[in-house]
Amino acid sequence: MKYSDVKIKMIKNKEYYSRGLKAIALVLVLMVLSLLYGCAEEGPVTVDGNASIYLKAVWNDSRDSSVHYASMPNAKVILTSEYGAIIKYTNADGVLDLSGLPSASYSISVRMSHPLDPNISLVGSKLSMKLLSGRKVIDTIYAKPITSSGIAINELYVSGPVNSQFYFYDLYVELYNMSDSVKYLDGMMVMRMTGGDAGMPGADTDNDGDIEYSTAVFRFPGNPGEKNYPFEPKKFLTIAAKAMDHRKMVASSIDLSKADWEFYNQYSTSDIDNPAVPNVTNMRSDRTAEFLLSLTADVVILSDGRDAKWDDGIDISTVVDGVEYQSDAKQIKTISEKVDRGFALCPPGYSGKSMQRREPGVDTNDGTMDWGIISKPTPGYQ
Amino acid sequence: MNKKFKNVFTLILLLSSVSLAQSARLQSMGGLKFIIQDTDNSLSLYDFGGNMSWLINDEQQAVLKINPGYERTWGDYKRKYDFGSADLFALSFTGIKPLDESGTFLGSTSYSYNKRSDVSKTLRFNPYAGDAFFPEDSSTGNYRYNGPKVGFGYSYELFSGLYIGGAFNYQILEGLKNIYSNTQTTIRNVEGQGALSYQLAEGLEAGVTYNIYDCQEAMQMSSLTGTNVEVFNYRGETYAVPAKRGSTVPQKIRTKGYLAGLQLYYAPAEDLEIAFAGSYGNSRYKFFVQSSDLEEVEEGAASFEDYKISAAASYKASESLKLGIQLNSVSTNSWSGNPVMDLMLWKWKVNLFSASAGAQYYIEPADLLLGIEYEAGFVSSDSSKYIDNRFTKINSANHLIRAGAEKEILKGFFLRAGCTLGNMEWDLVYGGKDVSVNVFSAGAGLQVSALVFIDITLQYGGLAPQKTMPVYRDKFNMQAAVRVLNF
Repeated sequence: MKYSDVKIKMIKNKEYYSRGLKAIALVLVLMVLSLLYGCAEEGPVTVDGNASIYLKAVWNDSRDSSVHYASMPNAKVILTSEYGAIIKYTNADGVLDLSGLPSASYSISVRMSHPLDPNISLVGSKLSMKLLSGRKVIDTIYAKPITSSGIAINELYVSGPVNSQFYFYDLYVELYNMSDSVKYLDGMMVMRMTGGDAGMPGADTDNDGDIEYSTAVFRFPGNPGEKNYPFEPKKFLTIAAKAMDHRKMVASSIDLSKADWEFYNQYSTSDIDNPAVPNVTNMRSDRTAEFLLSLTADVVILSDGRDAKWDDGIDISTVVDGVEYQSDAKQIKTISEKVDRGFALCPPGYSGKSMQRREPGVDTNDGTMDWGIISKPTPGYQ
Repeated sequence: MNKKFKNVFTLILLLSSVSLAQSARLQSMGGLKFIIQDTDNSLSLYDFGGNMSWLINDEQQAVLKINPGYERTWGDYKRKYDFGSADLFALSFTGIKPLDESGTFLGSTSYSYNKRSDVSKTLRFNPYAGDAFFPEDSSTGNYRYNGPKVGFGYSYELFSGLYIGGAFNYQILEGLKNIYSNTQTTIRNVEGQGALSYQLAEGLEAGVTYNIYDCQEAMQMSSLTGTNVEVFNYRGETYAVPAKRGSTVPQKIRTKGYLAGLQLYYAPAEDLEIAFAGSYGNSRYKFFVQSSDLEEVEEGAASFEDYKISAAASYKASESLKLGIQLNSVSTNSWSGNPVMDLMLWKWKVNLFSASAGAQYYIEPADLLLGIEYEAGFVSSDSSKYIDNRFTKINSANHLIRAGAEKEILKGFFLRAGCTLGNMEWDLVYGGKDVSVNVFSAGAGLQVSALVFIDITLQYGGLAPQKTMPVYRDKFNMQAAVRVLNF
């Protein structure tokens, strides 16, 4: 081989060697990048959807001072958390054994009709119970009998139909008589409590046994004790803000022309009066606005009418039922604890949804547990 | 930039998403993917591997590409959050300019308008991105998304045989829902690539790429009446958390990720080419909700990890006959979790493998070009939706045949036609069983002058699950491609 050939060969080998080094450098760059950023982030180790609860529901069925706990078979169990409400039933032994729940903090309410008196409810609850994935919580809920006077505010439809015209005048308040006897509406009052200096609607701010700052005060005709306006047992009663067919205004609304009663402000020059529907009239001559409730938060009180002097506060002892509703579950409750321990969550404005007691007329004085959102208004039925 | 995956999963995705980017010529020939010799279909590091640094070798002539297109999708064979029908209009301009010693420059701009009808409840642009979070309201309505995209690419020879390149893309999409919750969406996409390639020897080239991307989707739900908007954020399918109520409810989704790739090209002989492309991708997704006026909380998180390998070979058996094969393997691991409670919500893994073989034959006396491809795909999916207590394992075999023809009727004037027919044992995208795939296409090409070419294509087809229910998902696509050389 000539020297020149060898030299050429050496040069070519050097070129290939150089090229090989460069190729290796390319691969190394890639490897370094992969090492630097290569490993995917590991996910959480514990899986969700694996929480369990074993709940025993009991109540003291002793008729004397002794204690004897009986189980609550087929009792309704309401588990509420950030995920909403889950409704289950206990088995024949009063046990709810539930698994596959998402991890969350739950408030649990158990309720059942008294085996001897359907007008008495057995209610027990536990608040802020943490159910965590992979763990089973075992607990007992002790229920107590809750009696009702008979009449309760059963449904509040305030959100308005689905529309973009700001129409919400199809609102109504529905009452339910869950007792076995006829009740009388004579002189009963329906009030809306808002505002006040402390900004605490429905509160007993000075702790004197009454709740102040009623914005709207409407009254059934007659006087307390009279028996002109019966309210039949196990019946619903709808009090419409305007007793008319609202579908003529907004197609997605409802027909309230056959409501049982109608809020009518006789001091207003614009309020509509359906002559076929009896009126619940305004007690405040200084208020010329028709009866309206807020779409997002309000307090509604039903009293027996014995305390008609609304301007110095309404005696809590005369309150038949009171409901506070809010649009955000994290809001601070304002209504007096003596009236209700919680508040209902209201649906969004113009959603066509309504708020209603989970069981007709069952009032455990815990609006958080007693009330739920329904997909559409149900005036006069459930 | 990254090119399409040449496998069954890609076809599935393409049938359910925009396919306007595919070459108009190939699309009119039954959607043939690799067997037909085409300017944008080679096995080079740029065309096959998406390596921008090889642009300087791949595109050596200045060209301006103008691509208008229209696509309509409709049908009841859809998932819970899919739209009922959609219309997509798009117009793009891409210019490639070799600058001699200074490298090759690529610039692109496009604008798209996408109208989706009967979108059920979902508030996200892509509710099926692979994570477990589904914000929704209570209404079914129409969405409109539109916006521009601009991109730049550059390729330069550093020194003999070593090339460097990069690319950058920026896209903005504005969206609006026409009904409660009147969701306004702003999607911002940023992508970048750095690339290197090297000619190891004659016919032997290697390249590496590194892509990063950052996508943010900001949604704002507003009530036109000033009252509160109700939005539910689903974790999985069963359980939803109500969003903070207000007259305006903002939420945000952010995805960041990278993709590292390696490409090889080898031509051991004049009539034989072999290409390889592998990549590893990793992305992190975060879902933010507003807990107060000033504070944002991470409501959900997800992670995606992808391994992709593609290999292709092309053999020119004779002047008339070309044979080709292609293999693809994709493996995706993903999880979704609740970062507040550090819990795993959903974990899934998908493995895809496809093998394709094809042949191209040119009948010279008739000026007729024929192409056919057969693709067999195997998909396995393992999904564990812990929060829903739903566990699913699916294995599916899929078969596709693509066939197309092109005939030169007059000098410079071509007519084309083709079809894609196939069957999927399980449709992983839409969830159907024994799904048939039928796509028919036709088109024409015209050389207007020595430097101007026009291709048009019409495509119609869709998916239909057989023996289960009388539903279908169809798509009609119409696009044109104008190429102006030496602009």
